[in-house]
Amino acid sequence: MAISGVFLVLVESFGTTYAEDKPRFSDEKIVLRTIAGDLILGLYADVAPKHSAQIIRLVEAGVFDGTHFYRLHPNFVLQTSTAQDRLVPLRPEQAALIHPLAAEFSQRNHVRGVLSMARDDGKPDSAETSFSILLGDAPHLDRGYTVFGELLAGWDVVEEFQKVPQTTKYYPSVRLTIQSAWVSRESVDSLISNRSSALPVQIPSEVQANFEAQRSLEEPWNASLTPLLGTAVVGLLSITVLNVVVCLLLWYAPSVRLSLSLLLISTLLGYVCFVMLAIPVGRREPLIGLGIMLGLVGQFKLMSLFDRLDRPQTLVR
Amino acid sequence: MVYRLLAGHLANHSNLEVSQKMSTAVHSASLATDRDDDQFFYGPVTDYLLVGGFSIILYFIVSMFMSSRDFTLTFLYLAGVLAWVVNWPHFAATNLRLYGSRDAIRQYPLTATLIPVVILVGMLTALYWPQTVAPYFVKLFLIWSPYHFSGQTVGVTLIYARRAGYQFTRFERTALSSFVFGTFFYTLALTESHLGTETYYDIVIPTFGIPDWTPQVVAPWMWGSLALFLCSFVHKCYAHGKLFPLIILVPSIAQLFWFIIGSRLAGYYELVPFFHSLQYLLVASSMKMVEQSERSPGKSQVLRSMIAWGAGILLLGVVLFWLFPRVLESWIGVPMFLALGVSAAAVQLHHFFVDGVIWKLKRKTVSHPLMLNARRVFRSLPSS
Repeated sequence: MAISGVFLVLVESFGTTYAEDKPRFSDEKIVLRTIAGDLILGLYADVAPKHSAQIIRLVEAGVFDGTHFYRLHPNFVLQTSTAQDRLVPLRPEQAALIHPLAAEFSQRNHVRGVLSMARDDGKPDSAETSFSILLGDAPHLDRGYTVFGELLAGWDVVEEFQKVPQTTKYYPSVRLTIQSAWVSRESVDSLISNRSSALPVQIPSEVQANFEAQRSLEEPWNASLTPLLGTAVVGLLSITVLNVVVCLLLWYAPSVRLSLSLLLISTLLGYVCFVMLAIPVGRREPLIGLGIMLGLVGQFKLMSLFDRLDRPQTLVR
Repeated sequence: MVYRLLAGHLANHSNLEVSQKMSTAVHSASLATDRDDDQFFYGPVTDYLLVGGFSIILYFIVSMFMSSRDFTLTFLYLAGVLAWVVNWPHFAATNLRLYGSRDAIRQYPLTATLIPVVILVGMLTALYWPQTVAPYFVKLFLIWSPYHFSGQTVGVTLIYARRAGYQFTRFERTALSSFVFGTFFYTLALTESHLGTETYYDIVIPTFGIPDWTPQVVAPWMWGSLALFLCSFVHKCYAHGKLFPLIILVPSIAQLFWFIIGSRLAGYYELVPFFHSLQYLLVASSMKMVEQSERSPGKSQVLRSMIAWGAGILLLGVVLFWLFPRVLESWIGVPMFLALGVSAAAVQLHHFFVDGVIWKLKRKTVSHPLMLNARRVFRSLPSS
């Protein structure tokens, strides 16, 4: 009885968290033509009917033309600016269409690809025009922000956006403009087949140079290997010397426990230095990154042998 | 059995008079009390709640209110407050156990002497090179921490199983470990499978950028292991014709909520270290109480020493996590956030090493007090 109770709890939990039916898309699709290519958005008319209707109204009125993606937080969100931040000011009839929307929180989770309406902190009913495309799962937003659609095509455009240097964290140095937006009633397949591949975003050379300089200062693991290499080589050399000492201890030391523990701790230190050296390579080659990570976890397992032998033992020579 | 264990242990004590008094007292107590108490450190309610039940109940409460951002913020604030009274003392309890007696230091000399030196050097190096070394020093702790939680979950499960007379086969133990560490790998894979950074006290830490498919590979392994573990539990209950205490399952089910189900709730996830610390303090305080009860002639002395222990770990926790970074800030002149991040990582790395040696059940001095019901042992003492 109690066991079935535990199962029920689990099943219920997964029911709300994971097992979601695919929502129905409305017939209207939104196409955002950006400086890197087209993004095709589907709307969840059943999940968030008011939001979907309002977005369609605003797109048809040209409100999104000239807005831009002002925020790009990798693996989190790609967020549009508000309509007030357009290249060309809103016309009065366009401005008149914008009003706060009552929240339509649903069981739809914030997973990669969904469209989530932005709003003011602490004001659930304050969403107007800014929205985000989720670039990764963000469960902390669930039931706190209205999910109203999904990115159907255009991940290549997002990839191009991600290559753009950021002036300050998560703010692109180049304006990622939405040149125009329109509503299409074509089928998704047709829209996707007619869509051309993404183009690289043009980055002024001075912006790129500033970015490289800033990046090497703030994120050494992304920079040239040289400064890091020096540190890691020194670290590895020290560890090698330490390991040689430990090997000598293994020969002469009276205690296997001492020798083994020294060997383990020097191996851990050596591995941390190796991680410092290898992480830039791992970040370029995911499988190498996986190997480095598994190696680090293996170190934790090894450390369970540290200082473990119950009695000091004399090494048999 | 309680009597035999305790009497056997007490026979080694030099104070024979106390031993005899204790043995008699415990004997009569064990006869008078329900044997089911042996399954718990204190009692069913306390154990079920602290070992994971409370965290599971809280999940459902948080789920109901999660749409409110203010509620999430309240939880974040709450997690900060609880750190002072539960999380920090849990780290301090480990230190007190190791450094509190010369015997313990003699037993684990390398952990007591070498590790603090190595970690201190690592910490100073990280403070000196905040952009080159600090990210990796902190990353080491950030990855080791959930691994350590998982190790404790397996350990506590095995203690409850042993208390209940549930013999883990090699297969069951593998399934349990595979599931528990699978939850760890799954969350780790989710974090590390993107090319980005994490931030801990303003220290920007690079991810490994492992393949995107890693979580999808780990998930079936994790769920499969859970299914095997639960099936073997049900099978064993069926084979023995009785329902083994469900508390054997609670730590691993709680871990499922901490790492997988609850990870979708921001406020809840912040409390996971608190849940782990609660679990730890349940075991550590029970052990302390049993040990004190065996040494002290009466309840009042045990109570006094338990209060002193509680106050000691509270104070030491504040010293380690509040005072220590401030001293670093003023003496070395490093930014406060850097000092907070690096010192917290140092204290916790030290904790992982110490915890790795002091809880080995193969040692009789460890396994013996862990197998007794602290409340019963305490009640068996004379009042004065």
